[in-house]
Amino acid sequence: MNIFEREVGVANRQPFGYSYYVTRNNDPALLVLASLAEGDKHGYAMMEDIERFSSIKLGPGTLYGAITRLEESGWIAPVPSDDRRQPYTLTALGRKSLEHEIAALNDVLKTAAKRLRQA
Amino acid sequence: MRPVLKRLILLYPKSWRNRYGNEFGAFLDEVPPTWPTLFDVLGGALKMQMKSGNLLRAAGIAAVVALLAGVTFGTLAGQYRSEAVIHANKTQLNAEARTILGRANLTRLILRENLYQKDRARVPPEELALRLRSSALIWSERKDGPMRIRVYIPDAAQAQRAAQSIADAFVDAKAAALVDPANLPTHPNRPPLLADVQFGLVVGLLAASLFALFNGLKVWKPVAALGVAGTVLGVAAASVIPNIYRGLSVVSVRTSDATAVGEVIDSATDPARLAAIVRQFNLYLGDPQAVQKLREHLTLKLDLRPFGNPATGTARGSYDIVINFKYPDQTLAQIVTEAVAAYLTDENVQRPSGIAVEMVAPAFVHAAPHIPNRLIGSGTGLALGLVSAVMLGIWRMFANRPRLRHA
Repeated sequence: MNIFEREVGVANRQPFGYSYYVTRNNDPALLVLASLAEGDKHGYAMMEDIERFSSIKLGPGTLYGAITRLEESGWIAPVPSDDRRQPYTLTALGRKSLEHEIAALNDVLKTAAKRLRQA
Repeated sequence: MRPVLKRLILLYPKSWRNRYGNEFGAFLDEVPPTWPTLFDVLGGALKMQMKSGNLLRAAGIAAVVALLAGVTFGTLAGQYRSEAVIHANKTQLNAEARTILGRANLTRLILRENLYQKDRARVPPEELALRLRSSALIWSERKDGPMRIRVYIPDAAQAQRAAQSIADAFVDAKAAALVDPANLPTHPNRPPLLADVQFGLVVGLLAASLFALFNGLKVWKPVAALGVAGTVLGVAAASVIPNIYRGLSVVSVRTSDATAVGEVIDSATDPARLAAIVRQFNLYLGDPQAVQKLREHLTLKLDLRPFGNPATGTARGSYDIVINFKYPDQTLAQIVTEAVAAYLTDENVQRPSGIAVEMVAPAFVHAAPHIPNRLIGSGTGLALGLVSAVMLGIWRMFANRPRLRHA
């Protein structure tokens, strides 16, 4: 078990399609988590928000694929609503996971930047 | 396009639709209906189908088909290829080939060398002779190079004996000298096992993908039923259609005047000549339109390759005439093809000066009928069944409203 799994206790749950520590910045799951970090949103609002801050337009199938995986992992949860449009919120587990992902990405970026300066 | 986009929700697994179908439908009401969106929704459906267990089904089906391909490979008899090499004068060889590769001679060869032991109890000798004729190839890599006699038979020793016997027959007739006796093949000449297994995997994955699609459309049971029904109908239709066999022969015309080849063909298909063939072989059983029918079923196609044809060994200044004759009777298909080829190569027939005609490939008929092709028949039936099922699925998509939970 790696450090991340021990800390958040989510063994065998992998909403990110890649490593726990390093994900690509266009991973739909990471983009959804980043969008929900600002506040609760439904699918269409998420799609617009993601396009605004990352210039990546997620299609409906891709976005709901990510939502499905994140909800199954307990990283996001639906918020009760009377609207047909279902809003989602970031859970505590999801928030912690996002923090770890950001930290891991930062480590990679810092290392890359440092090596570029040394080269 | 938006209604189509929303109907695509039906391609998602039922459990997923129960949970997300309503909100996904609301989401699709807001997004612009474009082609990229449509493909993204389709891709999402495929991923969800696989995630819900259809990937395992796909792998299972692929494994079963691959296994079946392997078993089929193991049980099917491979054809052994034996080859003898002779040095021959092509004209002499062609003249002797009519006799040596004739039905009577091949039948004697089969009995003498004890070929096709398992089949001899149930298949007539004439049929076996045709089979041997179809599986024996005589060819040369170069115009004046040695001739290779290849025979394909399911038994290695029999293939060797047959190839050697044919080579010996040419040597005995003083038409050739033996260069290399027939070899005893060690391995059957068939596709490698890996190719069969790969084919099985591809077919299995295709079947699983179709299953995933039709499962989403809720029509997989009609698909299976219509597919089987179509295949059965295809086989039945192929069985009802009368067999048509095709005789084939090739002669080569050497001339400096290409237009003269047309005269040679015209002389062979002259109405009086065709009428004589009809009378001689009692074709079409007294049909008053027999000559006209023979004209339709007999084709002499000119292969216009003035620089020669490497496939048949013809040289520059030679033109191949491919003789085709389609007839319901296998024996007559061969005999008539032989008769037309013999007329074309007959030295006593008057022709424009400077023309030499020689036999390239003596007449033979494939053991299987040219029409109907049962594989094509059953395949067409299966395809029609699947197409009907797809149309049924599309009709259901548009006729039935999607069962979405409305708030």
